[in-house]
Amino acid sequence: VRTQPLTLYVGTLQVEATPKDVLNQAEPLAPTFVNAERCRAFYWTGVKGSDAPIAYTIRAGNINGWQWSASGQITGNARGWFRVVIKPPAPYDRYRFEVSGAPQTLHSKITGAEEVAE
Amino acid sequence: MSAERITRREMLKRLVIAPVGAAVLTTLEVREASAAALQRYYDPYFVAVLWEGRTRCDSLWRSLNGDVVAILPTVQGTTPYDRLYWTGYALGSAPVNVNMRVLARAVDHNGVPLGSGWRAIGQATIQTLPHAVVPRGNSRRALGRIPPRSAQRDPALGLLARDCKSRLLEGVNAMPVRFLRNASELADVSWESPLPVQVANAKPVPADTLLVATTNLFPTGERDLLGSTGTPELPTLDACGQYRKLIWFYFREGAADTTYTILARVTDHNGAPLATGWLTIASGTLPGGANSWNRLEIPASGDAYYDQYRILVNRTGGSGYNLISKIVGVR
Repeated sequence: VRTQPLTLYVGTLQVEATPKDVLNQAEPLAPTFVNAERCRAFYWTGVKGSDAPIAYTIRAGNINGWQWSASGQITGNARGWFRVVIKPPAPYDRYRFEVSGAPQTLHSKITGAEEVAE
Repeated sequence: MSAERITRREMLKRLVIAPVGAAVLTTLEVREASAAALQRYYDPYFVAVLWEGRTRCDSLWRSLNGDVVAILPTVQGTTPYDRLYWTGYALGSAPVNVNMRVLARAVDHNGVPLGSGWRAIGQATIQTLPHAVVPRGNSRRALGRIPPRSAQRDPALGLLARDCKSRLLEGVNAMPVRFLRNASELADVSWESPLPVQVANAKPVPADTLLVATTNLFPTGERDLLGSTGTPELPTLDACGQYRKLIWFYFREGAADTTYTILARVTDHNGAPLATGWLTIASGTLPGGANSWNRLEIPASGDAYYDQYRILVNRTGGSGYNLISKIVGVR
C-alpha cells in the first residue's frame, strides 16, 4: 500500500468570529469533504491575513455524525505561511475543517495523502 | 577445495537455523544512501538479487567483488531499493571476524559520481562461527538489511559499495555453492549463473531526479542552488506536490562555513503561489567537510507535499568552493 497526494481544496475564506468551514458553511453538521476514507493524512498549508490567531477544529465521522475531532490555533504574522498536519486515528468518510477568529482573509490549500492499493 | 551440493531449499534452511552474529550487528549505524540515475522501480515487496558470489577475505579492504580498487562500486542503480539485505555463509573450520563497511554515493544524469570518494553509511565487525550465516544489521530477522529505516519507505539508495576484510583466526577454505539448475543439471553459483529468482511486479519509478546542479560558492551572499540571488520569489524546484520527501545529496569541495535555508510553499490549481513569501521548513549549518558526501532529507521528519521549494546556501566564511548537488523526489 502506498500513499499519493490529492488536492482536496484550494480557496480563500473570510474568517469571522462565528465558526465556519473553509467552504464558508456555518452549519456545524455540514462536511467539508466526503468520501475521504482513503485519506490517511491531511496537509493544510496557507497564508494568514493578519497577526491575529485563527482557531481551527477538524471533525471527522460518517453519516451518523462526528466521531473524532482535533483543535488548535494557527499563529503567525500577517501574510505569514503556516502548515497544519492532521493524521486521524482511523479512516473516516467525512471531514469538516472549521475556523474562527478575528476577521481576516485565509488563503489555503488542503492536500490529502490517499492510500492506494498497489 | 571441497565442493558441497546444495539446493536452494537447503540454503534457505541454513539461513534460518544459523543466525550467528546478528546480535553484534544490531547496533550498526547505517543511514539512507545515495541516488543513482538508473531508476527502475519495484513495489516494496519486490526482491531482486543484486549481487551474489564468493569473496576471499584477507587483510586488505576489498569489495565483495574481490577488487581493491576503491572507485569501483559493488552494486549500482540501487535507487529503487529502500533497503538491501546481505546474507552470507562463512566457510572454513574456524571462527572468523570480518570487518565490513558500506559506502555509497550519488551520480548525475549520466551516471557520473557527483564527486570523488564515497559516503560511509555503516561499518561493523561480523563475528561468525564456521559454516554460519553472516547476517547484517536486523534483530527481527536473520537477514541483514541496509539501511535499517523503520516504517519509512525511502527508495533513495544509490551506488553502493561494500568492503570487507577479515582477521583470520585460522585458515578459511573456499567452498562453492551449487544449485539444481534443472532436474539433471547442477551449477555453481556465480555472477553468470545466479540463484534463480523470479523478477515480477516492475512498476514506474517512485523517485525522480529533480535537480543536478553545481553552485558557485566562491562569492559570498545568499543564493539558491541555481545561483539566483536577487529574485526571492523564484523557486529552485516547482511542481513538487507529488513528492512526500526530497532527498538532497551534495558533495562539497570546500569546508568553508556555509548556512542553508529551505523554503517551501503551495500553489493553486494553476500553479500560482497562494501568496508571496515562503514557509521556512529547515535551516542550519551545512554539514560536511572538504570533499565530503552528505545527505539531507526535506523535510527532516514527516511528509512534504509542498509544490515549490527554494533552497538557499550562503558561504559565511573561509575560502570559496563549488557545491555539487542532486535532489531526488520520493513519491
